[in-house]
Amino acid sequence: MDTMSEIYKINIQTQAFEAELLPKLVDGDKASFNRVVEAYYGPMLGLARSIVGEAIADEVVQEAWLSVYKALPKFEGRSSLKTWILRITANEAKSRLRRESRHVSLEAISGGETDVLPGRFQNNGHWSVPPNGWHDESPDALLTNAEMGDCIELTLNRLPELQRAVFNLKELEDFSFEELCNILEISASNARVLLHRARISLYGKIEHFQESGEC
Amino acid sequence: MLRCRDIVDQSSEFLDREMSLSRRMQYRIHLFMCHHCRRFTRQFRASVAMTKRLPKAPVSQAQVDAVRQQVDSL
Repeated sequence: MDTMSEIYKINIQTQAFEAELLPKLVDGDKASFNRVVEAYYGPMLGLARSIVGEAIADEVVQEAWLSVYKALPKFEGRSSLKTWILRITANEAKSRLRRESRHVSLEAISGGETDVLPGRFQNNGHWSVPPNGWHDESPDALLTNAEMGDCIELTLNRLPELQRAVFNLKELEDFSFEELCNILEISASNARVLLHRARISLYGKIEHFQESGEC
Repeated sequence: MLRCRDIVDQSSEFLDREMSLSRRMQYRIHLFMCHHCRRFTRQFRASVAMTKRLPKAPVSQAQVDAVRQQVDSL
């Protein structure tokens, strides 16, 4: 099955899951709520980690669940339940981040204006340092190198928060741009720029690892 | 005429098929002529495919139970 069919199948499953549980959830049924907690804790934790870091992500998710539970009777169904829950998580995480580091700006958590692959191009826009060949360019081969996997994770954790959040939602959770913009409250053009920067940073690190064997 | 730098700048749009047909053609024409950018695009595609498969954050039963306990106490 190709990736698009897989995503379509998962979306259908999510819709059926939510359609079954929603009426009970709005009525405050705790058993149904527990099923939602089991299903969505993982995506929430991934998102919270990308915004506030590993140390306090769990705390943020716990707070977000309480907000979700209290707000459920007011859920209007304008988006999927999962998108709505992740939006609450993102807001909890962003306000926590603002409390922790008082003067944090959107610019700072987005990564600002950065040059892609700095120092690699001549003034005329052609390569000055073109990419070298890799030992093996298949994703499977890249994945089998555990040291590189650790290096990628480290690089991912050092990306500016919003880049990491967009990367997490788009690449790991398979959200559409429309959904992830709804969750993070950013524009589609901003989301595309942030995703591209994150991908280029990770590409640069993989390339460096391929050439030097070091992170 | 696209430059190599433009190829890198637009590589996510190309990969995600979010380009108009005419821009996609221009992109492909550059790739046809430039082996450095062909290599970059191939490697970029592989690195994106690889990072999509990174493991997600693991969740323990204790974390899920903690939410349940909090909600039960409300």
